[in-house]
Amino acid sequence: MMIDTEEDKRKFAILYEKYRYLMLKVAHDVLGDHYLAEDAVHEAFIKVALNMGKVGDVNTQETKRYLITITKNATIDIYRKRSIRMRREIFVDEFGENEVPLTYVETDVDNRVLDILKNLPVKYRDVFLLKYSSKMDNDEIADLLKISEGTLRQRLARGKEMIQEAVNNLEDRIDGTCESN
Amino acid sequence: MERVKVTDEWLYKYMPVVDAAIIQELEGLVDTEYEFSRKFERKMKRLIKREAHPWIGVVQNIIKRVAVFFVGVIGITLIFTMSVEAYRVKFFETIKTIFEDSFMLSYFTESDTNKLAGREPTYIPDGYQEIDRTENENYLSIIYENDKGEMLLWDQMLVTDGGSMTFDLEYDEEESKVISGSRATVFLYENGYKSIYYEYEDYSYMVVTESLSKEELYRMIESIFE
Repeated sequence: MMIDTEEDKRKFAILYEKYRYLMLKVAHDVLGDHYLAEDAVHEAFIKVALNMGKVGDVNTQETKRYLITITKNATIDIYRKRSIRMRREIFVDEFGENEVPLTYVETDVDNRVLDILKNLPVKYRDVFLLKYSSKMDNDEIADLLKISEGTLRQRLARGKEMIQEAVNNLEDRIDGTCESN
Repeated sequence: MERVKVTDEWLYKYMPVVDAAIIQELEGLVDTEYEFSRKFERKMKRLIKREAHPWIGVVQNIIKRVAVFFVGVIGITLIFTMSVEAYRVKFFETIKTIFEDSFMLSYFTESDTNKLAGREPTYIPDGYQEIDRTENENYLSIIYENDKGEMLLWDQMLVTDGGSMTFDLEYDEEESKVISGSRATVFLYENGYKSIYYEYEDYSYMVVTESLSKEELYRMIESIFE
């Protein structure tokens, strides 16, 4: 019905075996309830089944990012439905995803610069991860995040400004420290 | 410190590094000892099964819920609660056994009918055409399809002594109606599937659909008497 080829059927089963715990973690971090998180993971897998053509090699970072994003969307849908009674809008930035310190592989830039990318507000960071890490096209990202391409372009432009500004500030601080020494 | 210019090229170089770190961090916090609930496992099993078969497989998957199997000792250990309800129908007796997430109908008959006399519905909803038929001494199965690709499965089985069928208990609604002295039961599932089960003379009947109304299912069963 949704998956046509034998290869995709096998791939779907592998995705389930390999990533359900990771997806549960993503959902549980937001919802704080295992049963709701399971519902989100189930919803996410239904969406994965509908979009198997977009899933590449099961072991790549792109596939993990795709599954994480789909799970987050399903999670936010559930979270919003449950929050309707509270009559307030929920923003993904409320989930506190940026608080965890990360360990990067060694690069030619200061880790504080990488922290700037990591610490982007989540709604910007997700877009940047999908575009510049998963290398998805704008229309694919817009479709996945359920936003218009106009909104997506705005976030990319605004996000770049935020990054540049933060990098400039960091560089000024570092230069200032060097000069004072 | 060398001044950084944030360009697409720069982002394509460093965003994957950040992504890898985020994912690595997440993976490090995953609880692989977590035991998913049985409800989740069942839903996923159903989803994976559905994905493991082409369209006809989907319909047959629903039918597999009523696949014939024999009552075995191993199965007894799985019983969570059990209630037995026996009621007489035309030529055989049915024992209903309720498990945690399914129920089983076991058949007992002294009838000497050993060859199925096929009965087809004379009422087929508008737009449906027969596309496949399987028939043997015990079983008649017909698949119909409409121009939207929606399918309808008609299933008639000759009841055999000691045979049984299992049904998934995870339907959302159940209702029944007496047709020609025997009860026809409709099961409605949240994903839109519906099925109807009916017993008459030496046979059990099952219709599975993804698009018809329950009234149309009753109408199909009634039509075997027309």
